[in-house]
Amino acid sequence: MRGAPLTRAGIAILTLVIVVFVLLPIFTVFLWAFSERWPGAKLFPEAFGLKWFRLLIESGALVQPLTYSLIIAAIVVVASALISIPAAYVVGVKRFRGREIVESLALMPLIVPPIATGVGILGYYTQIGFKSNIWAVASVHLIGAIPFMFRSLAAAFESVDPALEDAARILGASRLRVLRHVYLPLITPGLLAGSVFAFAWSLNEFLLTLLVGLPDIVTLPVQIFRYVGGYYIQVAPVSALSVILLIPSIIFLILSEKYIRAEFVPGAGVKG
Amino acid sequence: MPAVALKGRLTIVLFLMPITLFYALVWLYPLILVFLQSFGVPTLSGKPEVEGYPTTEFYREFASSPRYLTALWFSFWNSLVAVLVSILVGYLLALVLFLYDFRGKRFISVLYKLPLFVPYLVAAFMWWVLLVPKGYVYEFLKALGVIGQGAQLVNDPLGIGIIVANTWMHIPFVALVSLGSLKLVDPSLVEAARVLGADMRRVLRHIYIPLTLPGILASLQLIFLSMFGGFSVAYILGASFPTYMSVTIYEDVVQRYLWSIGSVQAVIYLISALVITYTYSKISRKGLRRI
Repeated sequence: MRGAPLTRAGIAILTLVIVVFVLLPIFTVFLWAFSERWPGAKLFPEAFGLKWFRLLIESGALVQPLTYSLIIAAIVVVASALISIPAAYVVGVKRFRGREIVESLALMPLIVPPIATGVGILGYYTQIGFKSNIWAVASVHLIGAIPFMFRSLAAAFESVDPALEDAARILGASRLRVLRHVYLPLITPGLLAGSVFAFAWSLNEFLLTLLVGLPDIVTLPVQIFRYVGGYYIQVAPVSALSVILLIPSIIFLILSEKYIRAEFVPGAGVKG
Repeated sequence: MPAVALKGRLTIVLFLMPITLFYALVWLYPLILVFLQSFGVPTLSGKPEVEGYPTTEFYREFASSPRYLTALWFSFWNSLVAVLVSILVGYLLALVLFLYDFRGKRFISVLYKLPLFVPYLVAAFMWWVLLVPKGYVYEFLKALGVIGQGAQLVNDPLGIGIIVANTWMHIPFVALVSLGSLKLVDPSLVEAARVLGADMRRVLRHIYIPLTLPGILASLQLIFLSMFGGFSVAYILGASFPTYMSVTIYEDVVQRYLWSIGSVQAVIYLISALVITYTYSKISRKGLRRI
C-alpha cells in the first residue's frame, strides 16, 4: 500500500526518526572509538586513528579478556547443547503428563532477577572455593543460555516426523543410535540457532561474571564495567571496547536474519 | 502393557535428569541459601551476622527503611513506563512496516533489529555518552529548548536515562512480535471490511488492533521482567538514589558485605517478579477473553 501524500510524508518522517534513534548511539560510539583528537567544544573529532585500540592492546585490556570471552562462550555452547538435547528430545517428541510444567519451568531462570540468584551463587561459590576460574564463569552463563538452547532444540525435535523413529526402532536401532542417526541430522538447524543464542548470551553476560569471575577472570563486558563503573567514565577506551563487542552483535543480526526463524529471537536480550 | 509404560516413564525421567540436576545445583540451591540467609541463618555470610537466628529482624529492617521500599517502587514504575513506551513505539513501527511499502523498507526492516543483540552494558554506556551534558542528544534538546540549563538526563532522580536506554533495547523485540502476529490476521477479514466501505483507520481500529494487541501484550511479559530485574542499565544510568533494587542489593552485598539484608531484598525482588508475571498474564488473558 502507498497511501495519500500526507500519510507518505508522515511515514518518511517516522522512518527517519527510527533510523536516527537506532543508529545514533552506535554511530557516536564508533566516532569516539576511532577519534584521535577531540577537543571538547568541537562537534566532531579533529583526527581519526587507532590510538585507543593500540592503547587497549598495550595495556592488556583487550587480548586477555577477549580470549577468556571466546573460550568461555565455546564451553557454554557445547555444555548447553549436551545438557539440553536429552530434555529437548523427550519434551519435543514424547507426550507425557507434566510436559507443560517442564516447558514453563524452563522459563523460570528468565523470570527471576539475575541479582537474586547472583547473591546466592556468590556466597555459595565463595564457600566451596569455586571462584575466579573459567568453569565457574561458564556454569553461571549456562543458567541463561540453556533456556534458549532448550527452546530451539525442543521446537526442532517437535518438527521431526515420529514415524522415522518408529521405523528405525523396529529395524533394531537402539535409542542412542536413533538420536544420533535419525534426529541429529534433522535437528541441526535448531541446534545452530540455539548455539548462536547461547554464544551471544555468554559473550554478553555481565553481572554473574562480575560476581564469580573476579579477580582472575575478566571477560570483555567486565572489562567495560571496570572502566564505566567508577565515578569517572573514560569515554574513548570504553567506546573502543564497545565497538569490539558490537562486531559480534552485528554478525549475530546477519546470521539470525539469514538462518533463524524469528520466533527464536524474542527474549534474546534478557541479560542483567 | 504396564512394563513398557514403566520403561517409558523411566526414560523420560532419565532424559530430564541432566537439565534438572544442573538447575537444582547451580540455580535452585543458591536461591534456597538466599532464602535461609534472609532469616539470618549464615548460609552465605559464613559467620552469623546476628545472634539468635532464625529471625525476622532483617525483614523488619526492610519494611521500616525508605531506602528499600523506594528502590522497589522505583524499579516497578520506572520499568513500567519503559515497557509502555516500548509497546507504543514498537507496535507503531510494526504497523508501518506491515501496512506500507516505501523506499528503503528492506533496509529498515533489518536495521531496526540491531539493538536486540547489543549487550545491555554497551547500550547503557552508549546512551550515557549521548545524554550526558555535551552529548549529542543533550545538546540537541537544549538547543530546541526542551530542557533547560542544568537539566539532568542521566543519573537523575526520575531515571530518564534508564527509560531511554531500556526503550531503545526493547522496541525491536516488540516490533518483531507485533509483525509476527499482524501477519497472522486473516486477509479476507480486511478484504470484507474494505468492500463494505471501511477506510484504513476503521480497519485498524476494528480488525488489526483488537485481533493482535492482546496476544502481543501476553508475549511481552518477559520484557517487563528483564527491565524490572535488570542491573547494568540501572547501575550506569541511574542516580545513586532512588535507584533499582538490583543496584541496592549489589551495593549491600558486594560492596558492604551485608548478606542478610541483601538476601531479604533478593527474596522480595524475586517474589515481586513472580507477582508481576502472574498479574500480567492474568490481565492479558482477561483482555483476550473480552475480544
